[in-house]
Amino acid sequence: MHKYAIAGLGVTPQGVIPGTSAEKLAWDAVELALSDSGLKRSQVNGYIYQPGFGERTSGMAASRASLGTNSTLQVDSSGATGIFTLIAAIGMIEAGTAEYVVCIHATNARSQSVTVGAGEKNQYAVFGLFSPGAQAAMMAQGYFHKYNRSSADLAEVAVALRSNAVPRSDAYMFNRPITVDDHQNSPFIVRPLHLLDYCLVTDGAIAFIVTTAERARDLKTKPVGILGLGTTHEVGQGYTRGSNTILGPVELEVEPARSRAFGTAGLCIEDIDVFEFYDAFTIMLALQVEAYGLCGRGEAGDWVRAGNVRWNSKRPCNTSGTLHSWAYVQGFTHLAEGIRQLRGEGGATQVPRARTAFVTNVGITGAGLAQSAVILGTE
Amino acid sequence: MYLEETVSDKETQATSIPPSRVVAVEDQPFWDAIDTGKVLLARCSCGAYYARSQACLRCDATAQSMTWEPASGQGTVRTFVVFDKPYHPYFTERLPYVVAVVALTEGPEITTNVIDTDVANVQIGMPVRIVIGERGEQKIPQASARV
Repeated sequence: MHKYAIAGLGVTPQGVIPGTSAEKLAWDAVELALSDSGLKRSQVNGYIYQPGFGERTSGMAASRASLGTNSTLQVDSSGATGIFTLIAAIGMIEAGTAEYVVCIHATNARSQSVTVGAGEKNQYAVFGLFSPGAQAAMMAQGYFHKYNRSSADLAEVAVALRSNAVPRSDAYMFNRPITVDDHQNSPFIVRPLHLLDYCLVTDGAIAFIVTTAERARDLKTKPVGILGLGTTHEVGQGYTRGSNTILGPVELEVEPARSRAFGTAGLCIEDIDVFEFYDAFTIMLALQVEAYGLCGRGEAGDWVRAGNVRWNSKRPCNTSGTLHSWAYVQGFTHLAEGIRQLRGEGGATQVPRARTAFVTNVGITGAGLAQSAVILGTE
Repeated sequence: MYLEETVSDKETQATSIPPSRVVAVEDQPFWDAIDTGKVLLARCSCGAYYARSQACLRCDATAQSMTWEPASGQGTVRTFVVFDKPYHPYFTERLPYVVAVVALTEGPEITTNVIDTDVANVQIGMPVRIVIGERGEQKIPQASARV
């Protein structure tokens, strides 16, 4: 039986929100999560935040919201951070330092016109290698070569992701469908990736509140159980890595994230009703559906083309269109959608009778690819 | 707008000043050798090679117990990307260019540029030879298609 649950969710409007700040968006999300949970301000005594792109937040929203915070923690493992904040929240509760922990990410990168990767000063810059997208493009090139696939396979992923956002009025790409041709005709950003292989940059914030499953039952909102967690990080796989190379894996390794998450939950992948895979780039979703065994290696394009991924298919994935087409709140985007699906709040793309959700986050960090995974379930 | 859809003027205005080498202090021997025209790899007594300072994944030896030895300089392209637009002003007048992960014969991989061939000719698996190139006044390893 699971010990911890998510007992409050706050999702601000997402998109182009000029005239605000990342810290104000964070505060807005905290207020929404508080209201959703029914907790008093003084009861929320842990605050964990991912600082993000654009203006980096500092945790000030906890004091603006007059929370009873006695522990504040900044967590950053790039795109993998959302689920890592859950892990850190459980750590605070388990250590006895807090009872109700709010986890948050806010960004106003869109209004700040952030060009991710431009002018980076790191060990790759002298070679002209900039941006997470270029690292993803390395993965895509290797994938195409190994499995005799092409950009047309990733186009299927883009089209499917967009199709899930199209009916969702809360999605940035609401009512804006795309075709395979649109993808193929979109400009190259870093070859072989096209513009439509990339995620959005938007303004917005998401907060959720973690507590024990027992305490969650007393709150006003429908709790979502945390059934199992797992992580993996390439940091230990550096044998072939040079002094200046972070990645280029063609075969994505998801162990031990998979076995730990499913092992703790006592579930297998067939038990999952809805999937929310990290999708900063289309190649990431393709590699994950293969690595987690939803289809064979190299078969993601065909698998998506056959109708999977779409919210009303047998294998619904990324039901809001997530980073590609909903909004860019990094890993919090996928957590929020998983929580909503299990609460029956998925709106136009609600998966009927969704009782379990599998959510992943992936981060391109200085020490290699970081992955985190969580299985969420209804009470 | 998408991630990286736009690159503002400040990034695209051409300059002759390249990005600086960023060298971790523990990898200084690798880069000192590059400055003298050589490529070195860290060799563990168990036979494993590394292109940086790190403890041995195979036999648990410390990084300090390894010796820096000359590399063959032979390798193959493991994967690569093509930049058509600049993310730094130095590259504005040097487009398009290839950034590749090159697997050296000894095992380690390095990030570098494939040179001495047209961008369209670069392929995964193609043999390359590591040569010392220049980026402004700095020396860097490059992968030449002329093997």
